[in-house]
Amino acid sequence: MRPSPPSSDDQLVADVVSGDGGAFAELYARYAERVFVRVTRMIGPGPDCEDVLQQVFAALFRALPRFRGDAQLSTFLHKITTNIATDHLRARGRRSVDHDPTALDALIDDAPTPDDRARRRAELRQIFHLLDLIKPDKRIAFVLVAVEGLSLAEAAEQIGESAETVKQRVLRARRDLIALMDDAERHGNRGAI
Amino acid sequence: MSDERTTGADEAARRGGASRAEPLSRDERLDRLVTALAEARPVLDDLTRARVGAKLAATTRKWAVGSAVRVEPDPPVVPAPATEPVDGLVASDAGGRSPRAASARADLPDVDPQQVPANAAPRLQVPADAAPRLAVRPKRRAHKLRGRTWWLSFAIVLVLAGTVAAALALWA
Repeated sequence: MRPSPPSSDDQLVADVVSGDGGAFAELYARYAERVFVRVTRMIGPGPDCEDVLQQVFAALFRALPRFRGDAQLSTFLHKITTNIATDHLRARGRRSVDHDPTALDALIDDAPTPDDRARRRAELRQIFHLLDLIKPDKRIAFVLVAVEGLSLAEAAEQIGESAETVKQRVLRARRDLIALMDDAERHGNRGAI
Repeated sequence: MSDERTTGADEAARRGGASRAEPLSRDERLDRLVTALAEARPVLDDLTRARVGAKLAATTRKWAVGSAVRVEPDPPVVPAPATEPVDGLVASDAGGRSPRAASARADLPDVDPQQVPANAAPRLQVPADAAPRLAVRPKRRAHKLRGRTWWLSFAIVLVLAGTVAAALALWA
């Protein structure tokens, strides 16, 4: 007996809307990893990622009846992810989170030597610390464009702003990050951030 | 940002290791950090995946039940004309949005009334974990209506009594 071919996203959405709980579990299995990666890059590693992941899929479940299918489901889902991550960062406020070294280590899978691993862990700690200190709107725009590699138009669609606004946010985020690095260097604690 | 697609990771890769020997500029330092973040590979472990999946399943099940067992809107206050019961339903409900109407529209199996015992209870299929959301507001609305009617009657009696008293006083 041959296994049945995987259902398309549209079919799964239709099944979820008609009350098929198994279809939603299939959607979760299909997209959980991708959402988790993006959430971690946006808000940093830690237990919050699990909460945000759950919120994203709960919001997706409630929003699916309104999904018209004129965009890809992945785009719709990433839009929800962006909104919820932004809300989460706003609620958390601009304060540096002490990221667990184990959680940072879990992000590094291909460091050839212990020294290399330690260097990359320090870099990750530094970039997450810097990102924690800038405004959530700028942070999200910067991560989407500079880290995830989205075009300004794609990022603008996910954020719900114009491409020009997103461009300004990315530029300001970059300027702020460099200023924060300089500031940390002047105070002689570059290694600490 | 001349090129929309150019990422910090790309720039750092383009600049390559040539800059390692000399001090990095501020932009290059930032690009190295961005590269580190772009190369990070967060992994959703099986335990977390299963835990979130279980929470989602419970939540979505609850919502699904909540949307299936909706509280019906308040019925109209004006009493419907009395009609003969038809197979346990009131005919005036058949076109409405009440649960009875909904079940009247549903495809119900043909059951011989003779085979149904007189004390048979209605068999509504409600999930075991469905929260009881029975509407009590129509009853309260009816109670308010009765209260208003009583006050109206009382006022009419008072006006009539006053009129009669005034008429008697004039006549005397």
